[in-house]
Amino acid sequence: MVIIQPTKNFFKLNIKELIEYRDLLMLLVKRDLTVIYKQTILGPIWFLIQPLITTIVFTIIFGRVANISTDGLPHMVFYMSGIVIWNYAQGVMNTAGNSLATNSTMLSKVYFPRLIIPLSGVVSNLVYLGLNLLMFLAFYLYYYFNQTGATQFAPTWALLAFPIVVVYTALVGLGVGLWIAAITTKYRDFRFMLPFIVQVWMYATPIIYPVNVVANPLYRAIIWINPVSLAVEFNRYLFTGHTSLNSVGVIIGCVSTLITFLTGLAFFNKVQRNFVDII
Amino acid sequence: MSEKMISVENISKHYRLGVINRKTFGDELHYFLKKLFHRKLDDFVTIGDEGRLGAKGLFKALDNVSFTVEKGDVIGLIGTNGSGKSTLLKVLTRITEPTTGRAILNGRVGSLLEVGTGFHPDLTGRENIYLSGAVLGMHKHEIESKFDEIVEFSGIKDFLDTPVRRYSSGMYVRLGFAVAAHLDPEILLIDEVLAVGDAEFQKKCLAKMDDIAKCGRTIIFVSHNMTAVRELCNKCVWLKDGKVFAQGPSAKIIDEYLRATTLGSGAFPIVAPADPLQVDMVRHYFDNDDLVIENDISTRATIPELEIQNIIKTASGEIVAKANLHSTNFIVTQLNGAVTVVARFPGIKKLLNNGRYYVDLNVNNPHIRVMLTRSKVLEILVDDKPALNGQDSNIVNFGLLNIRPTFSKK
Repeated sequence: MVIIQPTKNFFKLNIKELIEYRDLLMLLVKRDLTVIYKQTILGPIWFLIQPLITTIVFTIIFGRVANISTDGLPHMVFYMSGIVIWNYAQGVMNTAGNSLATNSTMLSKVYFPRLIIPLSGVVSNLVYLGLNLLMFLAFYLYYYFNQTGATQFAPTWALLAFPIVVVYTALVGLGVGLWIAAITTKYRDFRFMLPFIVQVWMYATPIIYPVNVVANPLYRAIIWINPVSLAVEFNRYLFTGHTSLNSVGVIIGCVSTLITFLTGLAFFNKVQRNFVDII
Repeated sequence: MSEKMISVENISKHYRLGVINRKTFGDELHYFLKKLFHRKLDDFVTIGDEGRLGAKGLFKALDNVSFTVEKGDVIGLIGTNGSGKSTLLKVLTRITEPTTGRAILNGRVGSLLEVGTGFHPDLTGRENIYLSGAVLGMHKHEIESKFDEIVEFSGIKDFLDTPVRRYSSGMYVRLGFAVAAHLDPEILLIDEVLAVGDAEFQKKCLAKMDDIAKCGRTIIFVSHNMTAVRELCNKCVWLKDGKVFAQGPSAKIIDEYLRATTLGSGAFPIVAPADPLQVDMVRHYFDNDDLVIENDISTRATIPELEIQNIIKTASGEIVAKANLHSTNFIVTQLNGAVTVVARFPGIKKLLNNGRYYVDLNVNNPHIRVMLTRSKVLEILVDDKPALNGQDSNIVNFGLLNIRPTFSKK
């Protein structure tokens, strides 16, 4: 039985309905992956080239030229461990953020839980995360067996908790993406601001620097409030045993992720119910 | 027996005219602060009842619409453009939320607001069948069990593994309808989807919908095609200006609707005061097999000579028969006041196949000067022809004439 009435509770998450539509979720994931594969020559290889080049650029500019500390870790390992996580968060954020706009024709003609589209982004980006991880592991193993620096590094047992990092990152990406989807529907201006915001956000994430080199307490607070920081630092800890992470950082990160996700969900729910009338 | 499948309770849907949202972030902040301090300032729900356009530039697309649909009913939703039919369907399909009120749908809902919307151009026909089915709420195994039927119905078997971006628009539509028609919802909501596709395919779609209806499904069908509505639906809801204007048995409501929209107010251009000639009413009836058309015409000034033309046309505009000066030698002379001119088409009912025909009325000066033309002043339904082989006669009897040709060997 379906009851149609104006929504009152925007925090509602109808999980039962989402499960009901799991087939659609999987087909949307398949669609995203096939379409990318069909339109390009190199296909999924792009998802290797992009982080590789970013890492090389970071190594040259921030590592060699600017000489920013990498906590004693090899540059490639340090940067890539962050980029892998950042890419996943950003990928989820982008698909979720564009979910309403790119699927507007479908959304205006047929009902399905709107959250399915952002969720499909969470799943399809897992594939790219997997590719990125493979490449990271290759470099990681190379440097692991050829340790020359003074600082030794080794994986920790906590590496088994890696899936938690993935879930956490997905939640961050989804939360921010839902915000973007909702806000760009109402105010088109944000579409132009988005690349700029993403760039600033990346520099506020400890990808090219460890948090312990940041002395200013205000900056440090901003970094910990940024929900991606926790994921990046935690991931780095899992693989190397080196981190600037402390319990305060973990709590702040978790709380800010939860807030981002819940408010994002509520805002998205509020906008999506009349989305068709606005576009 | 009479299980309630859909119950629509006081549904209203309001739109703001012109302004989509408060334009800038500043406006939004201003609005937010205002709302914080004077709660009722811009409240959607508390607008008064000042006609369809509310006090604050709100447009009432739906205004307290209520009705119930019982199991097995096929409801035709009719009304002129802008009467709120599509909005109601959008609310019922949960594409957009109502402003107030609620609706209860008792069963799985399938909808078909536009065929092929779940398609992605880069995916093949096969992949799109699955995607489109899933978008409409079907599970993978359900689609699999219907896959062959869908392919069969759409007739695109040879192109299954071609990306749909290379499909012709016709193929696209066929595939889209085939997927939608083969889902098995308890409630099916269909918007004007028959406007697309060729006549043959439209017939096929109608027949399919008829099948679905016969299986005891509940259907709400929006269409301007009154022939289709009359054939498919047992009840009609007539929306006018966002309100339920009338509801009841199809035949009755459609007749009222057609009378109101083709003959009644609004359909005729208002006669300028200077225009001496006007059409008051056009009626028809069958006298055995003869079709009789009565044209009530009046004039305010004396007109020396008038020629009347009644032209019977098919829905697509081909002329079936014409009564005019050449066929009748009939001229109204020295007309001042009202007159009823009767045209008789002898034996025509026996000749015509089942279908819907339209009558045009022209009034001319015999010296070939058109004084007045009115198209589709009447809709004439011929539906007395018996079915062939017990099937739906409309689908089996092709052609304009009901002459039952025969074959024999020489």
